[in-house]
Amino acid sequence: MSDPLQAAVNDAVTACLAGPSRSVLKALAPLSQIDPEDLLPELFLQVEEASDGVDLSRVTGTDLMPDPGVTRSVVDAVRAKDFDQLKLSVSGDYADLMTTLVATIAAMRSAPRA
Amino acid sequence: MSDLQSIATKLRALAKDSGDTADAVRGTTKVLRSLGGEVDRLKRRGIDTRQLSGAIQEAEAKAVAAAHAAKTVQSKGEHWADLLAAGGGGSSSGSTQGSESAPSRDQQRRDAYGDLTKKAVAGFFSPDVAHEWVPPFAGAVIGTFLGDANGDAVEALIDTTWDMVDNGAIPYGRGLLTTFVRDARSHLWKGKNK
Repeated sequence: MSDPLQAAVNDAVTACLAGPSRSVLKALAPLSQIDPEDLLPELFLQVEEASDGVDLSRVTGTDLMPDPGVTRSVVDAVRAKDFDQLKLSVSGDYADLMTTLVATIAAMRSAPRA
Repeated sequence: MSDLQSIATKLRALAKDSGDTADAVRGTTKVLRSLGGEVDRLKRRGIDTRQLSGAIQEAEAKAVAAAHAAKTVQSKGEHWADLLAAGGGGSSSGSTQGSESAPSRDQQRRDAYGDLTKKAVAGFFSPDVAHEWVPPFAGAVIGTFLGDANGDAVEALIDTTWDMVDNGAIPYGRGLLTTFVRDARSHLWKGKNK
């Protein structure tokens, strides 16, 4: 994995999945230094990739994404590149969008495959 | 040096200046946050600090937006400098070189999600609010996983986090880390009271 953005997001998601450790903050910290216009498309792309082959109807709530309906809606919005649906799925501001996307990637990595 | 390479060199210098500006503004933001801590101390002594707090918050929001703008100029400038430098060297044909190879990760991102990104930045990003999302999120992640653990584990984690701030390993001031600690404690408390 030679792309630095891809690697930074991957490290952050892996740290989130690994659980309580100071490495969570350390892995997430570099993301806030990245321009949103660069970071967002990488997050979108990883949502798409991580959800590839996932049976969304079997997705259940996770610690970070308790409502499976929101998870499905975010994945659908990203796959369809539908901003209006994304806006409906993420009720808050920019901070909510970023945390939701990272948490969605984490949820997709541990979701059952079709 | 070709004209394009010359422009690329100038653009790279401009991008560097913009990056330095972003760093300088971030330094200002840190000073503003430390001022916020001083104001809190005045407040605890019963002094009415509302106007001063408001002015500091407003300045901080503007500084965050300015740093973001300067960082955007830096990244776009570097990107275009790279493109111009690539076009200025080697083939003079304007170049379809590499067109049969797999697209780069960056190209994939821009092709697939360029439009959605523009809409999302315009729709979610507001210059009126701070956009530091990592410490609260990290606090929530850690707190969620620590939901069944004991308080000592959280305190130990918080202590090591403070150490990392002091050592410069985490690029956040104490104000933001307070948010992180608050969220971690809040999730821990919720976990214990399920």
